[in-house]
Amino acid sequence: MESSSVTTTREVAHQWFTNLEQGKFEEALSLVHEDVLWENIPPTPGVSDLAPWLGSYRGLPDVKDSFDVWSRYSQMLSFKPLEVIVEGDRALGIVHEHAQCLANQNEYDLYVATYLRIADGKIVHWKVYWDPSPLIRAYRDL
Amino acid sequence: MQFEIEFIDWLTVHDGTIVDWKSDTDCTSILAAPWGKAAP
Repeated sequence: MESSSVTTTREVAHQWFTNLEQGKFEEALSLVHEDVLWENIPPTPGVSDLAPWLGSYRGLPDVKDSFDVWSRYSQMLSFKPLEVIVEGDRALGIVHEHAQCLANQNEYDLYVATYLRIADGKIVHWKVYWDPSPLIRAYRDL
Repeated sequence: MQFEIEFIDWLTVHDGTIVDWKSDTDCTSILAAPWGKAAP
C-alpha cells in the first residue's frame, strides 16, 4: 500500500500532466507553490539563446513571465505525457511536445523529462531536461 | 573546451537487467564546445 505522501505526490503529478495535456495552463499553475524554483535548461550563447525564455526562475510571477515570453515565440500544438513515475515526494514524467515557431510556422517535436518535487500538495521544484535541437532547427529554418 | 551536462537516464529493468536505457539531456553545451562558445 502506498504511503499518503506518495499518494499525494501521485495525485498532484497526475493533475499537473492531465491539465497540461488538456491545455488548462492556469489550472496547472494552481498546483505550483508561490515560491517555486522553476529550472528550464540554461541558454547556451550562440546555440540555444535564440529562445529568450530559457533559464531558471524563482517564484510564480517569474514563472508566468517566462511563459508569457515563450508564448510570443511558440505555440503548443500537443502535450502528451508518455510515462510518469513517483517516489516519495518526487515525480518524473516523460512528455512528447509538438509545437510551432510562430515566426516561420515551422513545427517541431520535443521529448521533455519533467522532474517535480511536491510538498503539502504544491509543486515546489520543477525542472526539465530536454534536447533543444529540434527547436533550434525549426527557429533557424534549417 | 570543456563542457558539463546534466541528464536524466530512464531505465527499464527486467529480472535484474537493464532492457531499455533512454537519456534526455540538453546537448547545446556539447555543441558549443567545439565552436569555442562558453558554456552557460
